[in-house]
Amino acid sequence: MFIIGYDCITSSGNGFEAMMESLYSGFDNSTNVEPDGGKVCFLKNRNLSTSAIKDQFISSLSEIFNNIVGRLSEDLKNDFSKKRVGVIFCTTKGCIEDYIWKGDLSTFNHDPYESILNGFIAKNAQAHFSFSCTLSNACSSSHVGVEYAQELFAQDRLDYILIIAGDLIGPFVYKGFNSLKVLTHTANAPFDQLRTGLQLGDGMAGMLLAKESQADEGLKIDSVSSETEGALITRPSVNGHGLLEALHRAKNSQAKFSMPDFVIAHGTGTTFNDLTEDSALSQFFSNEKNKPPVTGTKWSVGHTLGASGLLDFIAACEVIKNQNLFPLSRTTAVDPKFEMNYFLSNEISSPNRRPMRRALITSLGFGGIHAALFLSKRKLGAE
Amino acid sequence: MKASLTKSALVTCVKPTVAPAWSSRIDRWSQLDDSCFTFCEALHTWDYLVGLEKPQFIFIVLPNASNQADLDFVNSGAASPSKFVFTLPNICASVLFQLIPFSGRTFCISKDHDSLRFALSEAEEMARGNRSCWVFANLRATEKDTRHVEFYSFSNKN
Repeated sequence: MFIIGYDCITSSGNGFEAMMESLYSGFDNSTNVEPDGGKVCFLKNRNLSTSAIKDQFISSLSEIFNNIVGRLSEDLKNDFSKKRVGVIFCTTKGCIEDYIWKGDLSTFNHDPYESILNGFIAKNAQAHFSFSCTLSNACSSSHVGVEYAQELFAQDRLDYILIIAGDLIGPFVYKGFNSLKVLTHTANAPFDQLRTGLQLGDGMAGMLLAKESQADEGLKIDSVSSETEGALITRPSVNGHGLLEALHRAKNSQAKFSMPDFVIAHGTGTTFNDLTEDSALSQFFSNEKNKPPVTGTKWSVGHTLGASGLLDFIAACEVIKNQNLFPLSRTTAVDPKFEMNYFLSNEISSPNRRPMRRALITSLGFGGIHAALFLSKRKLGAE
Repeated sequence: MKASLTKSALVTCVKPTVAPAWSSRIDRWSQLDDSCFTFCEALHTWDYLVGLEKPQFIFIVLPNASNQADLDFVNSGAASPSKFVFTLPNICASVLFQLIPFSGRTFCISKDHDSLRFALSEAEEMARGNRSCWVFANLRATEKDTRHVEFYSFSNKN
């Protein structure tokens, strides 16, 4: 499946360009939330509030969609308007703040996702979405959304699928993560030997996928796979088995597989996430003489939960376009137990000796879910 | 194409004072929310599922999302980590898979009151495309302190 367009809104500003500028310049968008002091990266003019979450979802996701469509060529716009189009909404808990604190169970008969998705579809009625649903698979929701799109395309049920994803950080999410004692109060430093936890982040993103492409070259999702295991609920298996299984399944589903040139890891900065991720990646790349550089985005824009995967896919596309990898700017000394090649900002030279054409983006979530997605830039018919 | 196997049970959410027979197979069973607890109770009586050929995909269906678990977390003072983790709908899969046992691709799919019909329709479509699927649903029941647990199996061999 082909990537036709994308955009996002993060704490660094509106548009993917703002996110990339933060990542390339080493800017951390987080603030400390009082009185606990946990780190959160808020969208502009937001704080830990409960107001108008639904409205913000609909308006921000619509802005993203309009930006994506607005950048399409006239031929693509024309094709998009005539073909079968679906939309998949990927989210977790960042959309319930409007009503959850009111405490009346009688008002809770509806799921919180459908009203947002229906509001989005109504506001963008010109797109004539013939398929829609929500997928909520914790922090791997974006990966699972694209995995579902992969199946829909494989069965020739749609021609275009818009993946939209978002979570906004309100008191519910903040207090939940605070209760788990996984929020950092200092710098978020994934894979660092002194890492102290994750920072949360508001995030909205969209990516338009097509079953086929007539372009001479473009960005393509080669494969994606998830793996849910019956393990401990808040901790992934330390040996990385679940993520390794997802990696191998995604690899084996490609007719001709090439190892990625770089990795955008989930990299939350918690003890167990980073340990599991390094274990799985080092096993996957065990036969590689030169392991690919590993980086991440959460030190800059925070952990945006259901949107985090889509933001990382967008970042990977931009790295390939720019041929410039951003570092883990807040990580100063990699945990000596780790085996992967983490790209830190104190490295002067480019981490790659080869062009960056292929990316791997990984994800881990509560509930034993792990996911891996491979994307690449390639000429049409070059597989 | 219809489901080759369906099961349905009305299950009480009230936890027993002694550990249930399946408790040793579940991480911290006493902390389970209503959805996960009733899934476990039902699966224990449907233990022949363990011997069935495992599907390529599993759909988890919670038409009211995790609203009850969300409210439980808020009512506990929004400070209980064990209550917070059950506010994620996909947590049910992790609990289910400790009992089945299973690991694989899971879609926690949602479409409000239409969630179950939609998931069954999607599972049928998947089966037409030679993908075997199971659907686990956990629905609010009209009877107090109970939930409906439902199971459906689809495959191209139907």
